[in-house]
Amino acid sequence: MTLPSLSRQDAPVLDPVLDPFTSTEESTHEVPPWLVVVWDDPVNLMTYVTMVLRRVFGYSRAHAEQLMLRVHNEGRAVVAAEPREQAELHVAQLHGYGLQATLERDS
Amino acid sequence: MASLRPDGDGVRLMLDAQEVEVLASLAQGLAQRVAAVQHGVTDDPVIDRFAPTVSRGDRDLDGELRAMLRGDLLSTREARLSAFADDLRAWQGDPSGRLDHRLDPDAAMRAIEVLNDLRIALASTIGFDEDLRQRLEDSDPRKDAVQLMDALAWLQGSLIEFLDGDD
Repeated sequence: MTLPSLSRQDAPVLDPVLDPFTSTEESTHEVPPWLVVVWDDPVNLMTYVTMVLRRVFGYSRAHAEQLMLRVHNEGRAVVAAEPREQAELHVAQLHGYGLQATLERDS
Repeated sequence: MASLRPDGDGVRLMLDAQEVEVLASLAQGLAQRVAAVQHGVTDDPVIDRFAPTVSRGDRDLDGELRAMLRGDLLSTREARLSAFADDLRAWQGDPSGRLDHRLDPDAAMRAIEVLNDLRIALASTIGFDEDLRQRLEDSDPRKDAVQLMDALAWLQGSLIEFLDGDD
């Protein structure tokens, strides 16, 4: 079966769906994400950091371990990019677990 | 000597009387320290570490959010430290002071968090960093704190292995 071709004029008008990766030039509706950064410290065990990342963000073990190793090897890792309110909540949760976490605007 | 073994979906924790007393005293003492400064201004490095920097690049944002989060972070810690100390003493039961108690997953998680709080407090108090171990002389009083941190790390790590070891 061949689908009928639609010219641009024939295309139904739909509400625009915001793509989080659309540049600001293309959409004025985009809210720039904020980054949640976890910093290395000499106290928190590697297994503990992995467990906390799984609990707070629901990440798979493999992903959480990958992020933990980035923290350990590079001194810091971006563990989430999200709207400010959610990023604040996650930073507060990470502080509650004793991780050194900060918030920064994505540039 | 402290030991652990799996028990269903939880873990059985066994401590001798002295270990119970050390853990309970540390937790109770830290709870009191947190409570004492909870609503005041302090330059206590332990308290600063429990309510740390929120933004490293924006001082205004950091000040605003730290002020907003500090109370909850400290009151939550005080409550869990105090509850842990009470629980340990309540679980002893045996006249010898030994503790042999099954922790369900929630109780094991609370113990893991408290052990982390204790290690953070010890590390912040002595200015612990990665190189400190190599710099410590035998006569340095910080050596005892580092040994205690290691013992707590063993217990915490073992609990994590039981609780988070398998998917």
